[in-house]
Amino acid sequence: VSLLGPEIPAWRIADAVRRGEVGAVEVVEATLDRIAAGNPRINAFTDVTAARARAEAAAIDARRRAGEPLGPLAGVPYAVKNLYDVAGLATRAGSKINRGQPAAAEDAALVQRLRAAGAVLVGALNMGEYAYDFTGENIHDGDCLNPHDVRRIAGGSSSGSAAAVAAGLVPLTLGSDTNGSIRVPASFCGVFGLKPTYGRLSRRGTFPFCDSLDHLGPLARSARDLALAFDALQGFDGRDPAQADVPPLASLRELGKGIDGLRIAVLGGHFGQGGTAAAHGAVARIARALGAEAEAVLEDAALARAAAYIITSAEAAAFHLERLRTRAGDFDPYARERLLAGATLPAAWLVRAQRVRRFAHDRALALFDEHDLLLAPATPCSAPMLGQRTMTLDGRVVEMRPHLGVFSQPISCLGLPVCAVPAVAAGELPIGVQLIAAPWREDLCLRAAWMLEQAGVAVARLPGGSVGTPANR
Amino acid sequence: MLRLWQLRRRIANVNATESFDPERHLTAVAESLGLPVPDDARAGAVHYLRLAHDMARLLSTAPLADDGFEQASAFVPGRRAPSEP
Repeated sequence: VSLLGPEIPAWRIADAVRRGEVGAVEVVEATLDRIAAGNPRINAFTDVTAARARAEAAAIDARRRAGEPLGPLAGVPYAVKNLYDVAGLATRAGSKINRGQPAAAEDAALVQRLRAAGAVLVGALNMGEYAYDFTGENIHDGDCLNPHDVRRIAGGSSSGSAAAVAAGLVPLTLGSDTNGSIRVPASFCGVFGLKPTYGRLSRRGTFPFCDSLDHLGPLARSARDLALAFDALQGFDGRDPAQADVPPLASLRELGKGIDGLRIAVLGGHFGQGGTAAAHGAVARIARALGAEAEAVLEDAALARAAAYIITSAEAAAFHLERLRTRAGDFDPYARERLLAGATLPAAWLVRAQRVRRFAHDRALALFDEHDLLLAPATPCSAPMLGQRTMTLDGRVVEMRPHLGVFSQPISCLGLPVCAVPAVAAGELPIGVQLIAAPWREDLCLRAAWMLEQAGVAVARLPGGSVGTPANR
Repeated sequence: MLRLWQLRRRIANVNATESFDPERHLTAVAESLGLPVPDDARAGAVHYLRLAHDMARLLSTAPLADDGFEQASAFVPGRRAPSEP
């Protein structure tokens, strides 16, 4: 199997580059060729940083030739959602307005960390405007399309981050998740995505959506790659007021523990109904593979979702207020309607929502006295069609956009770490399942995800059905 | 899962005397904020405001204690934001 193919995971590339089996420049050239050939079909990239990528890759090859140690992600090509600062590029955050801003003077904190680990940045990725989106539709840059069926949405708002990985253009991307924006596109595109604990990773150098709820995290076609990236991304930065000064996890070396000793339950109640048969069937398959027979109920899921809705609306609108006053016509119409509504919310609603968030969080912690991992659908359905506005759930026609986050929104409101894994069913579109742990226990999510991947139960297949050989997985 | 129609039923009796007219609210508050509401955005904004009101009424059902915290989002003295020197 070629080390330059689309199915090769990041960990295998880094291993090969460190051993000198392949050069970082060879890897990056193959990646740039793949992006040039494959991106027009799905529109995942908004910027390709070819010159920078070639320079970074050449520097890695030079270090190897000089006998210097290489980082854990040596030569791994990756790309970032275009709300991350990339030196020399305007941080467009999916908007028309921001692209008129000066170029970023330096990289975002997490881009700096990946570079220090040896990874090679190849570009910036499409996204829903200002991250206020679950679809990946974008009137400014064009819609990001689902690699498994280009008539369907990729999901958002980290649309390009999921689609680029799913299509095999790059093995690793970074996204952001406020109400589900890593997990929703990961589910629709059939890849792995990690939303760490709120406050785990520094957000310095990223364009905010809703400070109280914004998380950053990686997406990949392998849980092992998520762990590799997550370990490199951690570290206290001191310049993100919400980042917690907690000890980093060494999650990669924990993967081999699998699910030994873990108490795993399926979330019922809010999460046990209201999705399609595909969504609940995916949870059942993952539960069977994990031997999870117990059921748990997150009593305040609807409250947490409501709190997230109010906090997001109010904070995002206040943040964009001046732009709404002066550039209203330059917003995406869907984002603008929600921001206009959010700008008028009473302060009492916002404060109440923050208090309810704390209340629901504190009560949710009790679940982890009895369980280590909780399972829930990532989305209520597989990828809808482009332009679709409604969908039928439980025999009722509902508005599509607000419902896509119905299972992801309560979890990010509580700040819990989640790994979305792609559940495989022959002949069906991909759909994701959330593996949810107690705060700061991303290692447990990743251990279970890796076990499921090795068992062939959660697999990121390339469009057309290839999942790579077991050796590459 | 609590659907929107179920949510509306659940909160129907909460603050039953409260009247909320999203159109009037949007017009009045937007004017106070100096925020123009384009004609083609008005119906959508009213829709989302109504949805937010439903969510706020649901939040009012949570049995919060007076000694609970989180009146504000996390504020840690001594830490600087990225844009500060």
